[in-house]
Amino acid sequence: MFDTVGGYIRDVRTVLQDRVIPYRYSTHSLVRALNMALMDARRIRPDLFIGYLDAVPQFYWSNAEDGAANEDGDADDDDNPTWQEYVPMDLQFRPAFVAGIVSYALTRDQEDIEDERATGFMKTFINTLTGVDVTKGKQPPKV
Amino acid sequence: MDEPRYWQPGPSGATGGPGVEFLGVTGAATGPAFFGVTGATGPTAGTVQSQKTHRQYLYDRARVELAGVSDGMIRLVMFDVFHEFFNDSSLWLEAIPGQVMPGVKYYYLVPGQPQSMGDNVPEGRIIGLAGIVQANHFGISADMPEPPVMRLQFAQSNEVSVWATVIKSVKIPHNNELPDVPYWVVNTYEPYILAGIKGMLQLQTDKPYSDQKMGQLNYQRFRQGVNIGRVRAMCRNSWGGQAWAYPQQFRTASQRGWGVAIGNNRMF
Repeated sequence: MFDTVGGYIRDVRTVLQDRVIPYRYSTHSLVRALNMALMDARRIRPDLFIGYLDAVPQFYWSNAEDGAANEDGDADDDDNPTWQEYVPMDLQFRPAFVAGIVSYALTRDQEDIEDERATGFMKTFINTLTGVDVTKGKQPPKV
Repeated sequence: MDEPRYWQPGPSGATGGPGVEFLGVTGAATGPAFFGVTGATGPTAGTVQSQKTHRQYLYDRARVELAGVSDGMIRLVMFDVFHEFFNDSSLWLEAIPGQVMPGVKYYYLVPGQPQSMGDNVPEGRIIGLAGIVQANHFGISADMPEPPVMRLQFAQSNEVSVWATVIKSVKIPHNNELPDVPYWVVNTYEPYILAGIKGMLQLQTDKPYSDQKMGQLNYQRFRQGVNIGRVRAMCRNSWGGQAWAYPQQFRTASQRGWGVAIGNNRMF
């Protein structure tokens, strides 16, 4: 379910093909990407944050918490309290944030090949929020 | 003094005294006698629950018909539409029973009283005074310089049981609640109110649901509903009726050079 921090990150890791420990993308970097996406959404669609306009939801996950030993000893993230924190968002816009988080994660990669994917996910993020097709910066179709 | 008082006399008003008394029925917990029913007991405060289905219907219709709109924005616009609808039509009325005290000219009216006639649920917010009549339908000159404070033109010499009819509008909802309005208003004016919600949303710019042309059309349809509601309210929803009054010479209270005054329960 895309209603908690963990719900988003679990699906983001699927899209990033990064589900095996040790992770390529650290969890704290994905939480930061979620925070960035939320702030961006506050700019694009402030009506999604009615009730939170003065305090966009932000989540904290320190570097030290990544892969730390936990109760069940699996070094997984789901024992961290932040994992279960609720992310307030209308249902129909939640998929946009998966794209947004993936985009920010890929943008930080050093691989050149990821730039186009990052741009594509960012457009998906914005398009889903605005409902308007963003074509600026898109590559022309190959003929 | 033991009975709850539905009108709070102003600072200069008399304190104490008996509870409300109207239409020959004594006691604040007892409702008015309607259409020959004597001593009909009114609902107890807190037992009347507002209905939500009518508002939920509007909410869902807007969510379905305007793809890409957020729930929060619909709730905000629903409040705007209801606010404009009730402000401009003045059709949400509540006749509050109470006692006019000797020597007291200012009264703080509190809406949502269980003994009121008209729409007392939900509570709403008073925005104006439609008139004040005694139990025998003789009017008392009064105005409302600042809602919900009612001011009589002349202080009465005796304690008088009266009905004060107030015009109400929607209150700003708490948190994520839908704005609360009388269910019959939505039942009656649903096409127009829905058009208002859609119109106001469509007139927003650069949104997935923006549509200037349909927005204007829907907003005009909403305004048509406002006008229909206003005219019906003037006739108190009576078909073919028109605002009616005794000839002027029958009047016992003058409103010349003053604010609202009524001589009967059909005109203000």
